[in-house]
Amino acid sequence: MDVMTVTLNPSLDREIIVENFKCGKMFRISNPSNAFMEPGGKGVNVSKMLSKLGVENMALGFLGGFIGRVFLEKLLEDRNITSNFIFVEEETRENIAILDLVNHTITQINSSGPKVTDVDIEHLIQRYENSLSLVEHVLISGSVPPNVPKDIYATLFSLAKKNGITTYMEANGEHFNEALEKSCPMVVRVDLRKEKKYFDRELKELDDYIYAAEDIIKHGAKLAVLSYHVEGDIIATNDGVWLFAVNEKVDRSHLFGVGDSFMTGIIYYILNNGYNYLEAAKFGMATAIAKVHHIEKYIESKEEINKYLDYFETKKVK
Amino acid sequence: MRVEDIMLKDVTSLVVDVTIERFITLCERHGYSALPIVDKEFHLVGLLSESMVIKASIPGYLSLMQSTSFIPDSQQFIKGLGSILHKPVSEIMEKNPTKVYYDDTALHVADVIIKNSLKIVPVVDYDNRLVGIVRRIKLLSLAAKGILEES
Repeated sequence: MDVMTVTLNPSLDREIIVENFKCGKMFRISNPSNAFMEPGGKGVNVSKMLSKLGVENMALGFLGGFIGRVFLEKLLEDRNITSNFIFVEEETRENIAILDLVNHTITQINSSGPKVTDVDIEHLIQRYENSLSLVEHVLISGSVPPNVPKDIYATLFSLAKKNGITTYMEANGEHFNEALEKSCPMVVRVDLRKEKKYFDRELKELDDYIYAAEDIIKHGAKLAVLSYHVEGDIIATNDGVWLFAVNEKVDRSHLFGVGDSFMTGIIYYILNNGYNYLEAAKFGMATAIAKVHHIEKYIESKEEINKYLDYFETKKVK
Repeated sequence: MRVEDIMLKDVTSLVVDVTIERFITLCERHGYSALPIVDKEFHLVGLLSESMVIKASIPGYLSLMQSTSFIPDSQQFIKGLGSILHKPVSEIMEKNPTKVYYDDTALHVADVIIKNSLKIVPVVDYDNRLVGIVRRIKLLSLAAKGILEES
């Protein structure tokens, strides 16, 4: 096993398809394929995508309650993923999406996730530390449960680095900032879905994005990635800053899970080809575009990703 | 069919210095009746089950008997349990637990589980690292479907 993903606040993702959905009405689902559920959360998504590409990996995090047990049972069906979760008292969160394919609407109900106690956090850190002896790459992604200390990512990354492990992070917010300042991972993608912000700086112009990417490299990262509006991504390494611009208009509604695909691509490239960070970013970009174009839920081969390597142009901007 | 085809790839486990109280909490939350105990590098060093906790909670001479149905009254058990809750799992765990290797046959693990009347068997690799568990219910279900004997 090579990779461990960490998802502190995973979710059970449920999708229900209802035609002409309206509030205050009763609907019946007669076709079972119109209501399905699967384990989710940023790290878990990467685990599932890696698994489809044939990479055995381990998923670690908190789960809780009835939802947590359903989540675990579903995840254990994936033969390439080893589960390594700490069970807490309160329920794992659910993300419920009601899709109306007639009127093209999505109605979402998301819960916030369990409170975890100090004992649970301590247990997770200790289990994580033990698990480091089993892997060479660690990805930590997503949000954290409400009362987890804000230096949790910093703590986890510093333990990984002590073990000589290659580290990856996709997140934003206080725990992201602390990790960057105290124990910067090697690959950093800023999650800009909620807010276009890097620390306190609003990201508006291209220069703001270049500043953020370079600042991440200054903190010690080898590769920084920020999505830049819809049309592309800003990439920085020790050798400069690039804009990867997509050659076509991307349908915004298809951007779900793009960040997770990007990280999956980067990890997959490094696992197979070694540490060429710019090339890894290109492969990550191609994976993200492949995901947008893909009708099926998952991409199952490297060849499929390779097809999208020329769907974007790379332009050095600094 | 091999053990790795039927095992749960779940490495939920405890380290030796965790308390018995924590073991009970986690088993309940998880819905498991036993948990593997590992060292800092995930080597299997023990197993603790619900029944081991019960045995350790009753007076020594009673635990020598095969069956726990002789316990005079539950008060004794509750008191006994209270006195061991804060002890580490290493004090009462099975230090040489029955285990199987990931490439053993499924029939072998069925044998092991039935002969030793176990509910959970840890699965290890050749480095003795925990890679999963086999639950008895899974074996029962495979056997009932007639899948088990096909190799």
